[in-house]
Amino acid sequence: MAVPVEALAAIPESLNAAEAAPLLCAGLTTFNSLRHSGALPGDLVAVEGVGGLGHLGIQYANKFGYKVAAIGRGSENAALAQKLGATIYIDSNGSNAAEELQKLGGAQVILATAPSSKAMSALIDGLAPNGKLIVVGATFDPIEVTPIQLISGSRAIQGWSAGTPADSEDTLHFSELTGVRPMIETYPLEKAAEAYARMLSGHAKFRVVLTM
Amino acid sequence: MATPRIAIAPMKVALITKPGADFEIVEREIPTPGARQVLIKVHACGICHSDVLTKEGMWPGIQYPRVPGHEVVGVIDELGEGVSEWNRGQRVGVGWHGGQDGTCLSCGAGRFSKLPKFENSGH
Repeated sequence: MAVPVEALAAIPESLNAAEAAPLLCAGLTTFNSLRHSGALPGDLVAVEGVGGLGHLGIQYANKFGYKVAAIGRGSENAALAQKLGATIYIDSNGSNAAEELQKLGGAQVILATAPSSKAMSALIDGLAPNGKLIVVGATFDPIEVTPIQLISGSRAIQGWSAGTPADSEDTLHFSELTGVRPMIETYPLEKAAEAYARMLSGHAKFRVVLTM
Repeated sequence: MATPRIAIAPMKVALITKPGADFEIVEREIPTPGARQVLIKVHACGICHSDVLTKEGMWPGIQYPRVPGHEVVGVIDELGEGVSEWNRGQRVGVGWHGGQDGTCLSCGAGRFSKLPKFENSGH
């Protein structure tokens, strides 16, 4: 492909192509949103969704020194979330995740990665005073929130889109430095349709990468 | 000076001919990088959930046929005119941000995602 130079990010030698690729969107989005979130080391940060973005968000949040709560549907990913750096796992199928977060004092930041507006809406009451829901899971459905929910506790909801090539290089260097890596499933280019279907299925662990 | 390329034409791409169409694996001529562009020989490309926007035609204004993808990693294979800060053989990546032309105030302020003429990569 032909690309304008201002779109380029240099790839560190220690990262192979297939593991570097997901860091350029999924990694960049989670890294860059968390580092600009205002959360400080020691703060409770929840990552909603243990998937393509979430499994990276948990790792970055852990490396930033946050107390990390992973929120997933079912217990399937609990052990993995803890291995990635979450100290708390909340199964939103079996409990009210917002209440669970409030029992811990409320989350300073909730990084909403799963593309479910309903799940995001249900988490807003889990925010601490001055807490922020950062929306990175892309959907077209409305998030439901009342003004009172936001006013009480001065809470905020913010969207975040990836970043610049300079931010990509920061993401790559930080990942190289701290050992944050995506979990990937690779497919040859010729199987692009199969790989795309695998991504859509929601069962990939966790990022699907085409190699060529 | 532009440098001669290493890759042998043609190249293989996973193409969407129109919104909602299935992927097709087709051969295409290798593009020539324009001024201030580089040619990348792609080694890997992640598939992101937001590629749905391209594949299913939910992003306004983008052109088809299109080769989706915005998690690209490869090696610079050729330099276009006026490129001196990158070298052939250097490993590079491209994300959602596909470039900016530097002509508006948002560019000057670094607010690239707010650009009226924001360019996207293959997504």
